[in-house]
Amino acid sequence: MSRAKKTDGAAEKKQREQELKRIKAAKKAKKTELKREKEESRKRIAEINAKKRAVKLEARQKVYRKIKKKLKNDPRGFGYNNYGFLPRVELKVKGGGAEVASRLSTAGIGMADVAVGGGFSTFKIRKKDFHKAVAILNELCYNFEIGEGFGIGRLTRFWLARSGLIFGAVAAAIALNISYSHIWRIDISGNEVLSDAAIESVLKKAGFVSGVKKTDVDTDLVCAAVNGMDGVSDAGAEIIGTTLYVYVLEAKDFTVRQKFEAYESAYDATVTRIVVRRGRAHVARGDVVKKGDLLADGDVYSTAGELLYTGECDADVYGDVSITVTAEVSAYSVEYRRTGKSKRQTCFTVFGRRLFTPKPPYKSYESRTTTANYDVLIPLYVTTYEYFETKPVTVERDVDAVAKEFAESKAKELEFVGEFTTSYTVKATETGLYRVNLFLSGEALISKGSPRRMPQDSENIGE
Amino acid sequence: MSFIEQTAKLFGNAVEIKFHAIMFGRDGIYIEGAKPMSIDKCEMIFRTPRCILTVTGDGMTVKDLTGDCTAIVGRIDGVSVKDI
Repeated sequence: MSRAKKTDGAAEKKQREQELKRIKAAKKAKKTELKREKEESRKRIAEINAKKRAVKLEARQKVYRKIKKKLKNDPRGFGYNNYGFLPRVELKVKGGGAEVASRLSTAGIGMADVAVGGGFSTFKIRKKDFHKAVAILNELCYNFEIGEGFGIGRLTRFWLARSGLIFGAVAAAIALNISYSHIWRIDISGNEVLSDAAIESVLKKAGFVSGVKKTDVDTDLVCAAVNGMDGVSDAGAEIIGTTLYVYVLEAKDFTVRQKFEAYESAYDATVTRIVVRRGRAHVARGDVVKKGDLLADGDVYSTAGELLYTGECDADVYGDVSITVTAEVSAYSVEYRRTGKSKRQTCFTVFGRRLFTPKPPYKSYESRTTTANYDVLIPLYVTTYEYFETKPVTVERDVDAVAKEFAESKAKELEFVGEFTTSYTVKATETGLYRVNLFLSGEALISKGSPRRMPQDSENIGE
Repeated sequence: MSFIEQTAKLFGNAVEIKFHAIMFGRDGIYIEGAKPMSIDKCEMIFRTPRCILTVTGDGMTVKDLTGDCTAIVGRIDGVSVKDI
């Protein structure tokens, strides 16, 4: 009995499995069928769209052909449409044809471009014959429509409708012509010691500034003006677009010396060398001077000892200097590092006027500025500002390296001549900082330019 | 006044004025001394005192019609004259 039951159960199971397989196969087939139907419908839609596009393209091309034909109005051809200078009007008469043409021509009304078709006759007549033609058509009981106007009236209307465009085009052409005939920028290159401002002031004195007419600029005179400057070996100039380019070749070993009326000592020192190019020295070799003492000035006296005037003084005084400098430094420093975020802003400058002022988008940032010149016809400059966001980061430093850096910077400041001695000590303080005691000794430039001293100042120093 | 009429006047009406039809290849025809009777794209009929002038073609239009002078443009296939 139980064996029979078992057999039945197995057969049932097998049947169920077969059933499941059939169902699965049916589902798969349905899926495939749906997919195929979807694909077919997509193809159909694509075909319909393609047909629509083809129809639109055909219609568009028809219009283009019509426009092309109308534009191709060759007066030498038989298809020439003479719109004429004299005012004409187009009439469209229902029916008519030869009878209308015959009656109107008999009445002395000239007709042009007579076309008959679709139950209508269209033709053009002179505007002055319009009323006569209307009277004849009314007499003949023809229905008619008035079409477009041709001739000077239409031409005038055509150009009047575009008067703004014509005016704008003419104004733009005049403005460009005026702009192109002036110099809007002076570009100076080749100078390393001489500043742009110094060269520009020389050019300004000679009459070469931004805004001057090109015809008023003689490049030879520009070169002559720049060549007359101290420190300039040679100069060249040329005009490209609306920019005057000035090329400067500086003299070798040229240095710009600032002019003073007096020189005083910057440190306590013993004078070792005195070089006076202009003016008068007030100290001698071996003198011990304090900080602030007068070393040289440009006063010129009469034989009676009266001060005549104060001229320029140009002097270098060297002395043996021994100084101790103390500073407190931290083992930590704050560095600003980029976060990776950046933003760009572009600004246009025309005729020296900026069209908008750039605003930095971040609280803390680094920026990079580049300017492109498009100043062939008008002075147009495009400046791009690139902002990189930064954030402060505390960095630990080697205190000894910091102290060494400090010593080197002080030594550089003193402008030692030849060998010098330097030593420093570093001590930690209660506040967490480090005290650096720096000792420097050697021969250095001690003279520092200053304005002229008043006579009582000179007496106080014990001259 | 047309050139022919002027010439006729000059010579004292020595030439009897008849209709004139001048063809410009197959692209146009100029007819003088005939009045239009029928105007169509394919066939145009003109009447003179003694005959009927028929111009056949395709896409024809009357370029200018003044008095009895007509200029026709289009594709001209044939010109025929019939006495009346």
